[in-house]
Amino acid sequence: MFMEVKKIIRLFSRYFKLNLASQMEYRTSFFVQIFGMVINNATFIFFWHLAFDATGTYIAGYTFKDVMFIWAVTSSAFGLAQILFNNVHRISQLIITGELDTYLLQPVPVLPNILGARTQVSAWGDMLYGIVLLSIVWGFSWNVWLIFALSIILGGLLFTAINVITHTLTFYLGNASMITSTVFEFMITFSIYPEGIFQGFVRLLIFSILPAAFITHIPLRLVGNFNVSTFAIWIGFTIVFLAIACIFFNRGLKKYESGNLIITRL
Amino acid sequence: MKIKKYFTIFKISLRNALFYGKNLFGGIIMYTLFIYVFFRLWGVIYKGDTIAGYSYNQMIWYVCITEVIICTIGLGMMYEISQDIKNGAIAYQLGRPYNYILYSYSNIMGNSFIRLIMYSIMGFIFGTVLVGAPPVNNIAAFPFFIISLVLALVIQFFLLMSIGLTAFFVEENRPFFFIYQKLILMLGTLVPLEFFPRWMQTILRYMPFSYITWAPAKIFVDFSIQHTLTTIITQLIWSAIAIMLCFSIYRKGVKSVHVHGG
Repeated sequence: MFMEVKKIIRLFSRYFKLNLASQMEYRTSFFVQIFGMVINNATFIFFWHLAFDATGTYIAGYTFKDVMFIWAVTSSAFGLAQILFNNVHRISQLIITGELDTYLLQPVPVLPNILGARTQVSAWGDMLYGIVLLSIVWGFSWNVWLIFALSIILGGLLFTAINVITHTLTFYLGNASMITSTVFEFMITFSIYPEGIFQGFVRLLIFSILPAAFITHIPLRLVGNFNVSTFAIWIGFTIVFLAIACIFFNRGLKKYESGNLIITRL
Repeated sequence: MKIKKYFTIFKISLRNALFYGKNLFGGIIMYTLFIYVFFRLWGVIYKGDTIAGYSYNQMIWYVCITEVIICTIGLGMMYEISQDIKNGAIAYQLGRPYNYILYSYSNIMGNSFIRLIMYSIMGFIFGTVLVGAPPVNNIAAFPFFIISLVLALVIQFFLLMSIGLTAFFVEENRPFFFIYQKLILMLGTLVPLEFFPRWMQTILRYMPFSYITWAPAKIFVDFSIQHTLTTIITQLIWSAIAIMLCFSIYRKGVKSVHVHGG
C-alpha cells in the first residue's frame, strides 16, 4: 500500500515536471493565457461589488468577503485540478478511440496515470487568482489560510472525482462527454454562489451527488465558526466520494473494449 | 445573383443545426441553470422595491433577454474559424467563389438563427412562469426591440470574427475570446448599466459592449423613445465599425498566409 502511494506520487511529480517544461517552451502563450484567466475571473469581483453596492451588507446571508472566499476556493481548487489532472477531460475520448490501451499497458495504476498525463496552462492563472484574491480580501490570518489550503486540495480532488464519475458513464452509455461538461458547469456554478440561494431539491443535490457545498460552502462555515463535527463530516464525505469515484471507474474499466487503433504516446 | 449563394449557405447551415438538434441540448441546460441562479439571486436581493430603477419583474425579464443574446452566437463556431486559420484549412476556402467572411457570417447565422428562436421561446416561458407577463409598457417597443436585437447580433458577430481572425497573427487567441466574452457579460448582461457608477456609465455609453445586451434588453423592459433612438443609431455606427475592422484584419491576414503542402 505504502509503496503504491509512493509510486503514484513519484509518477505525478514526473508528469508535473514534464508537462510544465513542455508548456514553458511556448512562454508567450503561457503568460498570455494566465493573464487572460486572471482578467476573466476578476470581472466577477466587479459584479459582486456592484450587487452589494446596490443592495447592502448581506446577500443570502453572505457578506462580500464571504462571496470572495468561495470564489477564491473555487478558482484555486479548479486551477489545482486542471494543473495536476487535466487529462480527466479526455477520458471519454480515450475510451471511444481505444487510446486507453496505452495507459493500461504501463506498469502504474491506471487512473492516476490517465489523470496526470496532461496539464492546462491557463489553470495557473486560476490557481494564482484564488490566492491573490484571498490575501487581498481576507489578509493573513493563519486559520483562514489553513482552511483555504485544505479546501483547495479537497476541492480539486472533488472536482476531479465528479469528472471521473461522469466520464466513466462512457463505458456504459457511449460518449458521455456532454453529460460531463454539463455536470461540471453545474458544479462550478453551485460553488460560486451563496449557499442560501439554493433551496429544496437543488440544496439536496449540492450536499450529495453534486457536492459543491463540500467544496466551498462548508469550508466557509468552518472559517466563520470552527466546529469539529462539521470538519469531520467535510473530510469524511470527501474521502467517501473519492473512493466511490475510484471504485466506479475500476468497475467501468472491466467493460472496456479495445479498438484496433495503433498509437504512440510521445 | 451574388446574395443568393449566401442565403443558400444560411439555409444549409440552418438545416444542419436542425438535423443535429441534439447539440442544442447542452445550451438549453446551461440557459436554464443560468436563469435559475439569477432568479434565486435576485429573489433574495429584492424586497419589493426597485433597484437602480428596475423592478423585480423587469430584472428577471432583463436577465432572460440578455442571456438569449449571449447564447445565440456560439463561441464554438468562432473557435473553428481560428482553428481553420491555424491548421491551414483556410487555404481551401480562399480559392472558392465566395468571400470568406460573408460565407462564415451566413454559415454561423444559419446555426444561430435556430438558437435565437429556441432561446427566445425558453426566455419567454421562463419569464412568464417565474414573474408573470413581460413588463412591456408600449406595444411599439416590440418592433424596435427586434431591430435592435438584429443589430446587436451583427456587432457581436463581427467583433467575434475580428478576434477569430487574429489567429493570422498570434498563435493563441483564445484569451482574447475569454476577455471579450467577460466584457460583454459584465457590461450589461448580468446587471444593467444603471448599476454602475455614473462616470463608468458615461464611458460605456460610447463603447460597443453594452449595445450588445443592455441596450436592446432595456428597450424591451423599459421602453422610451429617446433610449430607443440613441440605441439604434449607436448600434448602426458600431456595426459599421465592426464590419470595417473585420474586413481590414482579414485583408491584412490573408496576405500573410503561408500554407505548406496539404
